[in-house]
Amino acid sequence: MRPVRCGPLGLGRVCGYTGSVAEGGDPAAMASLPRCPTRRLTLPWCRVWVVAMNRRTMLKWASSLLALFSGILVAVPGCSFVLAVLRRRGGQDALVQRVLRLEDLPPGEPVEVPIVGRKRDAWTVYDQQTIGRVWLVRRSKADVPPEKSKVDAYSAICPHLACIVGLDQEDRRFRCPCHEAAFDLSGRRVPASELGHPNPSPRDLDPLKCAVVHDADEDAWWVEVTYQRFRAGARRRIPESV
Amino acid sequence: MLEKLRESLERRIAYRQWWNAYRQRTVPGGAAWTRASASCLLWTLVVLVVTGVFLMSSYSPSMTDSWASVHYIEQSWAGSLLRGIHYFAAQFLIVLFFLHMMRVLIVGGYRAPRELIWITGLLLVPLVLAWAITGNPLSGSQKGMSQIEVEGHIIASTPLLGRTIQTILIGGDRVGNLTLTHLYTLHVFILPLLVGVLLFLHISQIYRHGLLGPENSDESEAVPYWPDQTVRNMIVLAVVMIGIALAARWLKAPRDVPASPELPGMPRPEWYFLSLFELRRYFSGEWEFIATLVIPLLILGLLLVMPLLDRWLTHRISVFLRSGIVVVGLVAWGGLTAMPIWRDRHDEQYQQTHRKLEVLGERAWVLADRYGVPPEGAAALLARDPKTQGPVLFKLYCGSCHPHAEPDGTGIMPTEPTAPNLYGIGTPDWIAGFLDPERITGPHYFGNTAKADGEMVGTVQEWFENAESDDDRARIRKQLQEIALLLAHEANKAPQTVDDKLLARAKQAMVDEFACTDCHRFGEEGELGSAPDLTGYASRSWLIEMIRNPNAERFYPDDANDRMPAFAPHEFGSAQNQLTRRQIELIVDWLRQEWYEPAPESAESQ
Repeated sequence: MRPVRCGPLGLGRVCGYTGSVAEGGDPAAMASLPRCPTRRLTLPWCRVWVVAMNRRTMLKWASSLLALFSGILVAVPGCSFVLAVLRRRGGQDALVQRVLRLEDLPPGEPVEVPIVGRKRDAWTVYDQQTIGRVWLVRRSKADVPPEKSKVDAYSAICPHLACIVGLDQEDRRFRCPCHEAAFDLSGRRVPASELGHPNPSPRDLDPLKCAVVHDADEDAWWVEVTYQRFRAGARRRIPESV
Repeated sequence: MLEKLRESLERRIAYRQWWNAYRQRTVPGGAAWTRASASCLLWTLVVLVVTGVFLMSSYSPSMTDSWASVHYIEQSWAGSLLRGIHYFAAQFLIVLFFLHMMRVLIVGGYRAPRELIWITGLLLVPLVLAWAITGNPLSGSQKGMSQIEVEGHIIASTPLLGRTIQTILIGGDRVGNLTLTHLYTLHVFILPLLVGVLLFLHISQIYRHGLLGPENSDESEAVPYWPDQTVRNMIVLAVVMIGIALAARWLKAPRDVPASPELPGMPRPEWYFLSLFELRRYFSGEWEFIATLVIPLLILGLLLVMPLLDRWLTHRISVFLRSGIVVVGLVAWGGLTAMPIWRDRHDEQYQQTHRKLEVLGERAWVLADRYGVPPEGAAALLARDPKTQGPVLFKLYCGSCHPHAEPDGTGIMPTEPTAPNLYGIGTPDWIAGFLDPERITGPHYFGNTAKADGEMVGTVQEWFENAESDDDRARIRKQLQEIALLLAHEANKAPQTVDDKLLARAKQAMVDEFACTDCHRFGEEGELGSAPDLTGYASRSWLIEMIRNPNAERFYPDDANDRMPAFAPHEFGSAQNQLTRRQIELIVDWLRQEWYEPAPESAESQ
């Protein structure tokens, strides 16, 4: 006969019942948690905890639970550490930068300029790093006065998979070297019918705010771009940090 | 004595059971060369792990260090060979892997009770490929980093968990330091661990069920595995190893240009993924994951259920299906792989960028050999190299007015040149052009500038017009040649043969006969204000100051400046300057052709 008693994990005495079950009885029945036969206690939590087990079964349970506890103690910080990158958000949403003097931008001819800024890469901080590229197109003719000049800016980051689009001089369009997404000089996707294969880009090139501003100190006109970054691969423009 | 030691060892660790398990294996149907694929695969994997551990001892995964440490490994004794073996063993492994899979499929090795061998083997396919992909970017090359960036975005475009997996894999939303540490952890620990566990199951199952004999083979035809089959395995392995070592020695693992945000990206996947790259072309937008995820999973799924499927099929249909999978698979894979290669070969833009990156890669290597890698990382090698940055900066800031055209006409040529050609500035010949009545009015000097009918041109022409005879003109030419040498000496560009006597003679002529110092200052002679200072003419510091502010008193004060802008008139560091000190120095060093070139003999020996 095996002694059993009523209590949480067979440890304490909840109702004081002690009894015994037959040795070599059905092991499945032993392993399950029988209710205390006195049914003296009706508290809900007590009903759950009322078990009958012998000492050795209790020790097996305790060992497993303790091992699980130690495991959790490592697994929780471990997983949190790996998942921490999901929570990390940082950087600015937009960066206003003078990128080129207007006089250096020939009308109608796209020019690529770098966006230079502070960049944090995990533990390294770069003060001056190219963090983006922008295509500028001067829409107005050369004889239009600077204050009335119109310049369009497009992020050179391909909306498909974030490669840098280049200028295809032959076809006069922007072209991504990775998967052959193509855009006309107004940033619109070139349709598959003209391209001869599907255009993989989910949206047109991302236009950026762009102004022609005057620098009084040196009496020069500059092209000023508000640089933003949008999520690659999405049909809508979802802003990301720059 | 030895026997005693063996006995006591056997009593303690019972090692003989392992050896016996190997020795007692038999090969039904006799030993065969084709069976060597399994053993060859296993030992290639061991070679990869061993070489990998050696490489780990000198590798450092970070954006600043990875390329540098790979360069260090390559120029260490036997390092190039070691890395080469690691690189080519990985390529061979993938080839062998698919050959092995095809062989097992054709002989029907997946049938009961060997299903688990087949399934564990198939699960190794994505793991081994992931193992290879996580290795490529570790070199810190532009190619590797662009590859993982695109691969990350491909993962991100997969529905449901895509973005989460991408963020965890590359450690944020941009490729950087964490990308390398994450990939490194996967490459050297987690994936080897998973592969090891699956491989253990795979091999223990093989030992349990024995080798599959040819259909209707006779028990009596079985031969002992050791040494009948083993010797064949080792011969094949030796041949493969010779191939790997030769490739490592002569083809060498790639030495790509270090990753830098300044460089164009040209990401193409490795050859074993080109077929998926091509497949993506036929699905656009949100459906691309069908090419990169669904189709590969379906193929894997079909192969996984082969043991089940096979039970329902007659022998004939099964043979047809199996050989069908192999043939269709090979043709489809070959075709899809060949197409992008063919397209890239005919894409001039791609080829150009590809060549450019190759040249830059070699240059970075040469610079790292010479100077070592600075603490800012390998990208700084090229960013600080006048030979690399000079033409880029010149084209952007100087090249819309100044040509930089070599005598054969190659180089930078503006559509409308309006300033002197700066190729060879400071050399005796370049200076001599200014003192030649024909050349000074030509397009390479003042021809296209407001100075075309200025005082300098007039003065030079006068010298020759006032000459009385041809002899006189020849004498003037000789003297001007010496003055050119004197000025080139100021620029530190004069040949070694120039001696003090010649310099003194030339200076005398400058002051007295040609009266240069009436307008120009030269040393203690003459004054500033009316023409550029000839003291230290075209030297490094002279050129830097000239580019900073040509309107300064030393150069072209007041209205003397034709049209050259001041690029850094404010103190260095000021945001109002158009160029930084570093940029101006790069332009000047490039103009003066002062950059490091390896000695030609060392280039040949490489």
